[in-house]
Amino acid sequence: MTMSADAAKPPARATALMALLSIVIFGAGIALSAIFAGRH
Amino acid sequence: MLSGVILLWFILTALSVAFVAVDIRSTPESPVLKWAFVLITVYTGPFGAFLYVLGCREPLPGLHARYVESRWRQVLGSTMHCVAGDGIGILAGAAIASTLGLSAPVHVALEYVLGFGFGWTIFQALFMRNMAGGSFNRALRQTFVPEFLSMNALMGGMVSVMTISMTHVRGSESPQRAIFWFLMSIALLIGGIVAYPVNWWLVVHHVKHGMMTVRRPGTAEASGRKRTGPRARK
Repeated sequence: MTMSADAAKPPARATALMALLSIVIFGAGIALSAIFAGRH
Repeated sequence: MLSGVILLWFILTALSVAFVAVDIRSTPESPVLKWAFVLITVYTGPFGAFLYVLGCREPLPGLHARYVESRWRQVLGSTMHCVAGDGIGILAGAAIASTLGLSAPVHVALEYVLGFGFGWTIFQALFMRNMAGGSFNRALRQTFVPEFLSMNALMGGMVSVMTISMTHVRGSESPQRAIFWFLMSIALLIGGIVAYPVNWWLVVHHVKHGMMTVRRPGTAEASGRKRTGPRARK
């Protein structure tokens, strides 16, 4: 569900930062899994 | 105790899915979001039905466009669309990996690849290609970034819940047992909550569309407001 190209888009830098943040969130999930599942 | 909770959960889920599947037919929403809400209710049971009533169901005839205008409902639509599409691939990946007894890293990788692949190519690009002028290839290019951001957050939230619970709850690693699907439901719910703020950013910056109002041509409400959303109001 994506907007068409004519709408005002965020700057590429902001999008890159958000992409980085999303990767960090994913990494945090993996790290939590490794820590707590590893303790078992 | 736990088996009683799970039984209650599946009874409530069956009732919720029946309600949403019937009721949403009269809701003036886009077909893809109608399917998304039904799937979300399959995944999350009464929570999905609650979100449908609170976020999408038309409160009074002719009021849907105004009802879904609020930002949080727009973002809810965007998040539901992501979770519904990605969820199919993630659940398929989890079931396949658990059945084959794959290691945890391969398990997560398979879920990610199938979830991203299905969500991006089918739910985003194929179903919403009209927003890219009808071109599937252009839709693939336009939907990659929003799908990537949303999928990472969704997986970040759900993978920890899924892995930790499957490690600590006996029998939960087998798709043949109800506890597996119950824990996957909870994990998808948590993943959706984590993905919501990311979808907020995407909707605010016009990278993703939110909830829409799509009425059948010929109805009284359709005249003048066939398809509305944040973009249409600009």
